[in-house]
This record gives sequence, C-alpha cells and structure tokens, in this order.
Amino acid sequence: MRHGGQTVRSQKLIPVLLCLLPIVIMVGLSSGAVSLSVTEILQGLLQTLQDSGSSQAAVIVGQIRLPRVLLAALIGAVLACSGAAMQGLFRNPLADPSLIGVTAGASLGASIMIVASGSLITGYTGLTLVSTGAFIGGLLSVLLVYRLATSPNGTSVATMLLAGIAITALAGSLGNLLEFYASNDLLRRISLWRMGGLDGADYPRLLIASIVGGAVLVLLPRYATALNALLLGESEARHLGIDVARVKLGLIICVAIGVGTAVALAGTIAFVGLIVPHMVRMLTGPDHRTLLPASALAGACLLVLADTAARIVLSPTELPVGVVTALIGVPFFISLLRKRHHYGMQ
Amino acid sequence: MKAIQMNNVNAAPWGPALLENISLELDAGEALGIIGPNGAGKTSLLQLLTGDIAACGGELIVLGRELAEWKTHERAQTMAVLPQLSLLNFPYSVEEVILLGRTPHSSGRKEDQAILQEVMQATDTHRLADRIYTQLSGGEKQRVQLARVFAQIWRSADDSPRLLLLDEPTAALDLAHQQLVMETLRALAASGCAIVMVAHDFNLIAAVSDQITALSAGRQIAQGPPETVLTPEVFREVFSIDVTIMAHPKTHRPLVISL
Repeated sequence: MRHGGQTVRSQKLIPVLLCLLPIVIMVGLSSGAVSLSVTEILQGLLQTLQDSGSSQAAVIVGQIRLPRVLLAALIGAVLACSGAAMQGLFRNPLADPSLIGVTAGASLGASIMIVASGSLITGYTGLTLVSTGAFIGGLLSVLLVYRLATSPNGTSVATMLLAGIAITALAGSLGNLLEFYASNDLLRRISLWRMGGLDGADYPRLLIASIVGGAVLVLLPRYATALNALLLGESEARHLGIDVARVKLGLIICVAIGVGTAVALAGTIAFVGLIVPHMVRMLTGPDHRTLLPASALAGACLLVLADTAARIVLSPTELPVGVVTALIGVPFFISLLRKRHHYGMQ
Repeated sequence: MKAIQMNNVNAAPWGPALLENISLELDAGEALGIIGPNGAGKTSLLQLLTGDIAACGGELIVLGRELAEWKTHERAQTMAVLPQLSLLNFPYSVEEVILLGRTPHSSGRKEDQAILQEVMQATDTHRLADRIYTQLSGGEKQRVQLARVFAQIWRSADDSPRLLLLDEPTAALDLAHQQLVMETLRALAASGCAIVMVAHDFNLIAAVSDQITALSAGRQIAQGPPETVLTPEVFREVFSIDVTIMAHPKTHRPLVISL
C-alpha cells in the first residue's frame, strides 16, 4: 500500500487472520437451512467428539457442517497459498495455479470418468472415481507441461506458461468433445462438477485433504526465501545462492499435488488462487515469508465464507461455490486492476 | 590468493563462438575493467565467470576453485553479480530489495541492519529506504541494485577472497553518484575484494582499474594496466575511432578524449 510513495506494511495481518478464521468457521457452522446458536454448536461438537451425537444439532454440526467447513478452509488455504507461490515463480502477479495446466487436466480427467462410469456407478463410489480421475488428469497434464518446458538448459518458466496455455486449450477441447457426445444427464453432471462444490464433504475426504493440504501448507512456506530472491530474476536468484532448478521442481510438485487434490475434492473453484495473494500482497508487500502463510489463512476465510453464502442464499438449494467465489472475485479483481498504480504495479 | 585464473577459455553456448582464447589473472584486491564495442562479448565474459554460460576448453579457476566445484550457496557468500538490466516488477520497498543481498548469509538481523545502513550510505539510497522500488527512476533503481550486491559481499568472512562482478554499474548514474560509486569500489578493492567491471566510460574504468581487457568480436585485443591498453592504436583496432590519450592532470591516469 502506498502513501505518498512510502510503503506501509501491515505487520498485524497474520494475527488478525488467525483470530478471524475461527470466527468465520463458527459462522459457517451456525448458518444453513437450520440456524444454530453458538451454544448449540459447542454442544454438538462436544457430543460428536464423545461419539454420542444423537441430538439434531450434533448430527447437523458433526456429520454435515463440520467436515464441509473444514474442507472449505483447507482447500481455500491450499489454493491461495499455491497461487501466491505460482505468482512468485512466474514473477507475474496475474499468475494462477491453473496456469500449469493442473485445473484443465483435472477437469478433463473428471469428465472422462463421469462419461465412462456413466449411469453404471452413481453416488459415493462414482464421486470417488471422479475425484481419482480428476487427480490423475491434473498430475498428468502438469507432467506434460513440465516436460515440454524442460530442455537440457533447464526449465523455462516462459515456455511453461505457453505450454500450460496449450495443454489447457487441448484439455478444454477434448472436454468439449466429450460433452458433445454426452447425454443430457451426464452433461449436467459434468457442468455441475466444473462449477465446483463442497457438497461431497465427508470425513474420508477431509482426511485426504488434511494430509495432502497439511503437507503442502508446511512445505510451500519453506520456499519463501527462494521465492523472494526469484522475484529479482532467475540468474539473480542463482547468484544469491538459490538452487533455482530444485526450487522450481519442488514448487511445481507441491502446487500440482495440492491443487490437483483440491480440484479432485471440490471441482474448479475460480479466483481464490488469484485474488487472495493479490489482496494480501497489497497489505503486506511481496515478502513471501509473510505472503505465503497470510494467503493461506485469507484463502481459508474466503472459501468458508463463500461456501456459507452458497449454502444459504437460495436455501435449501445450494449454489455451486465456484459461482460465488467468481461473483465476489471478479468485481474485486477489476477494482484492483484499476488501482494497481497505488501499490507499485505498472 | 588469485581471484580469477583464466587460461585459453572459449565459450560457445549456442553454436557460434562468443569468446575465444581468453586468458587473464586477477589478484584479490585488484580491479579489472572490460571494454569493447556492443556485442564484443563483455557480458558473456561476466556470465562465464558466474557459470551462467559454460566454458569449453581451457582452465577457469574462480576464487581458488574450478567453477563447477563451487556449490551455488557457498559461491554466493563470496561472489556478487550486478546484471545490466533489472526486471524486478514486484512492489518491494527499497530496504527489502537491498536486504535480499543478505540472502546467502545467515548473519542475523542485527548484522544485516548494520550492513544495510552502511551500503545505503555508500550508494546514497538512505532517502529512498521506504520508497517502492518499482516507482523509482532508472538511476535510483541502479543505485538500489548496487546497494544490494554491495550488501552481499560487504564484509569479508574468515579472510575468504571476494569477487564483485558489475555489468555497466554506472550507466544510468549522474556524475555525483558515479563518483560516489567509484569511491566505494576503490574502498572495496582496498579491503581485498576483487572487482570485474564492464563499462563504456573509459575514464571511469581508467580511474578504478588495475588492469583492462579490450574485447572485440569475442577476442582479447589487449590486456594489461590502463597505460598499455588505453592507447590510440587499441582504440582504432577495437572501436574503429581516433582518440587522443592524455594523462589526467591530477591522478596521472590515462584520460581518453574522443573527437
């Protein structure tokens, strides 16, 4: 943020977000088709912990809302933190985790699974199959993008950007081809999946998200110093003692697995990976030692809020959460673009 | 210890030879100036020393070790590089950019802050400390980048030799700041840091360098102390221009006057 050309860095953002996150989670737990008070939530949580959840509040909180809200928080954190890392790696504040092809590949993988499993397998097994397909599709396309951009001279991030665009377009058109031949029912399932949603949240999924998301959220901040140096340029980072090739590979693997898992569990959720790091950078500056953890916390808050809104706006019908994040995200993003000079962007 | 020992080194990273048969030696505390027309291979020579392009044939020992034997992290503690162009477009503050120079060291916050104050003094960037880097003028950005590379090798750790590589460090600076930077370079050299500098300002090069290498089309046309390299014959061969060389009235170093 700028005041007369001087930088003002917020040192308090992380503590503020740390206080905000539990509040947002409580709001998420209390809102829905049935509103619950704080006391009811706490009683419900206690009963769930003691495994004696028989009251209505205990069932709603323990079985429905808690896994969903926690899944939203984890996925929001992974997407935002990955976005911040990608913007640093590509030295471009408009980069997005989907740039390396992971989202498009995952979408295609999911579409293939939906069409292939078709009407044979539905419900829980179908959902798991689709998630697996999405995860594999995401990883395969990142692998392809990485291979395309790697030559004996190293990996070029500029080529990776172009390869990512190419693979995204290819996966998109293959997906469209599938939709062209899909029945109306399958078509609707594909497009609903694409819009993203957390309605499939349950404890097994939460467990997967905790393990993968936890690992990614621990590993990414370890690259903070390297990312800070990388903003100067790749040779400059090397001259500052950073093993650039290893850092690139490590970051790509972390982001591919993190975002691949997020897309597999919750579909494509737009804009969290793009706008959250942006907002945080406006407040704290580009230092990744603050930016990465603050982005993770802010992403968690945003996605929990967006998912809560998605649940209650048209209650009892649910909006896909991807629609809500884009609806909140786009106007905010446009206002950022208009004010970019105020925080030192050209 | 020698800072650089280079014997008959060639470089041809993309097929055609960029540099042929380059030989030079530089002691700790010495400054080497590199001159030559555009595209002569001046920046390539610096990139050879940083390992950004590979040497083929010949021998290249930097700071006492074969270049390939250096670990990236260890080398960064003794060698700093100022590139010709800076592409930084993220809104770091000036102070944050300069402190990036301390990345390879784990010297602690107190030491880093002390060095920050000293290098800001040496580059006159004190007043800019809280400004956003992307909003500075070209000359101000160059001073900040200079401060960053100075911070990287400002203190000598355990008597290990240091090497500073500068690609046109004063190109965007006004006269006062050029002089300030030259004084800092002299002081660094006096403290044992070896310096290799590419520049187009011959008089600045003459004022600082102990040795000068003149390059043309990748070949070393002349090499030696300023008096032997800065001659009308070398200028005719390297730059195809006629110049008059005089002794500077005060420093008695060569003074190049072009027509």
